[in-house]
Amino acid sequence: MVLDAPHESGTDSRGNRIVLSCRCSRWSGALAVVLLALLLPGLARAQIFPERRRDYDARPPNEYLIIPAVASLPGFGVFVGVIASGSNLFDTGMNVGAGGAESISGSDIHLQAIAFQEIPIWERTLTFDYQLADIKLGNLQGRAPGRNAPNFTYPITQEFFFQLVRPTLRLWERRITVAYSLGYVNGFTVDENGNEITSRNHASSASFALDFTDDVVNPVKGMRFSYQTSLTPPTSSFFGTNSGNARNLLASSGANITREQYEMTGYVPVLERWDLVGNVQYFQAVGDSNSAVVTGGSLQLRGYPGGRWSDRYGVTGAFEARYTIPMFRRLEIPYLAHGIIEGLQLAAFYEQGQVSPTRDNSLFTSMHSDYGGGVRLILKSIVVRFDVALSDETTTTALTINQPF
Amino acid sequence: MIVSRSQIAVVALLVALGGLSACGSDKQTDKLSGDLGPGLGGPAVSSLTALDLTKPDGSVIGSLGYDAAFFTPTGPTGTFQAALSSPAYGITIGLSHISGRPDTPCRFNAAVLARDAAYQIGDTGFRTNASGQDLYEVDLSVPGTYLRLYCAKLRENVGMQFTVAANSPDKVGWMQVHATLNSVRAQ
Repeated sequence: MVLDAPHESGTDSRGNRIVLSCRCSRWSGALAVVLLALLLPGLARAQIFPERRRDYDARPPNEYLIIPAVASLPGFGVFVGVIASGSNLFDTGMNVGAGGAESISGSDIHLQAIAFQEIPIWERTLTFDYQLADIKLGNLQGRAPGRNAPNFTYPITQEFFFQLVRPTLRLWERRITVAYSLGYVNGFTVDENGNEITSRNHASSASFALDFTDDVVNPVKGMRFSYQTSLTPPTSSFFGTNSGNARNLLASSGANITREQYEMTGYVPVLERWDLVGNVQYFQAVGDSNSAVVTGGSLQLRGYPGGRWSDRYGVTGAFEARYTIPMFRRLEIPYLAHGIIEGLQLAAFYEQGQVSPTRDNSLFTSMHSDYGGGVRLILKSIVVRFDVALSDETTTTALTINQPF
Repeated sequence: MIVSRSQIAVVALLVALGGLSACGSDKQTDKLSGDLGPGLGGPAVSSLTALDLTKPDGSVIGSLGYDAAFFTPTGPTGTFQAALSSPAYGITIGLSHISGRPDTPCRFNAAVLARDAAYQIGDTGFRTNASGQDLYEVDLSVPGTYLRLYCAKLRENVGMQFTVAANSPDKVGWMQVHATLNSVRAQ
């Protein structure tokens, strides 16, 4: 389960991170994706794309996993709580993810969140997601944006209620996905005279993804592309009406900024149990702002805390080798787990990335890097992932649901 | 329902991974603590002149005192932003208003100075002045310039940041500077 603010989270409808890959103008990336979509039928006839290993929509119903655990989120601290994920509830195609956590590391963070995914509107082609979260950040450690930002944190205190709805259209065995996200946050903030005031704001985004892989959950062959852009959000919706004050908890920069993210991932099987995965991401912020540093996103480098590297432009390249031990074992633990374990996967990865206020060669100089390994429990429709990553600044760990890409 | 040994192993694995994932925290530790102290060196302090500290709307939230024989107030004194300067000794104390908890603006402003002006960030932490007021301190420096940021929450969610700037590391800790900081009190 992933809870995401649509303008900057960079996740697609399955909760996976969105990517990007080129140095191009605002619209040329989207145009390239549309042209690619027009070429799809011909490419499919030529069997350029791998066939699906299995039909995701025919996955077994009610597979679920509930993990009571002490877990850390890079940049957010250490939590004790529960991570839960359920797939194809009552064979409706709907998934649910939930999390409840209380921080125990002094970060004073309290989180209760639930996400319903793929609630059917028209069969399983047109669905919508609904996410709901009650979040208190008592001592979250933030970092200043910018390429030259030091490794020096400052505490952030916020309390807010977050909702998101995301209608999604999926076509051709989920190879084409189009989604619109509308988020709304209702929280408290402090004005210049120290008065506590409410802040209510919207954020919205659109995403387009092409999936030419052999599997939705755990692909080993093929390619994925995705594009996401922030949109001008409405000031009023069924969630509520903007408060009108300048403090926007969803967007730190001006309203004239458009954030775009591109991602491309390739999966190559090399031996019977070995797969190689390459991933490229690019983000940018288009438009002017009064802020000294405009952020288009932040690097998804697993060896650094979340939000460590952000600026107007950013690029990341990741390489991951995966070794899967097939298991095909039934998992039945009352109230905790129900499903079929397909395998235990070991992974090793290396990543590089850089951010810059300008789109030039500086994006590829003095790049930040990390490396690490992970263990993944592969169920039919759920992947539980544990990663350890090392960088020149710190060592981070993550226990979460879904492959990184 | 019988739980097999392999299923117990799966649960054990997940719990173990969960425990492992708790390694490491992102919070950075403070080294400074305790009383601010009287300061060291520089001209002796004579009587202090009072200066009101206010919110942006003009309401008084606190006060401080400064040695008028050493510091000259500049800027819109009596409002939320002012400066006390001693051109003869190259020392300035800038006053600016903050909101929220005191360590957030002090640490954020230090991070921005480090990012944009290549300041090196030194020690940090809460100090207590002679009036019992907590001041969050961050030390910074670049060659030729030494800064100490002090942030105080004075009333409800508002307070002041005091930016002490000097051209030597000793001067930011002079008695004249500490006398002013020790006189900061909420009202």
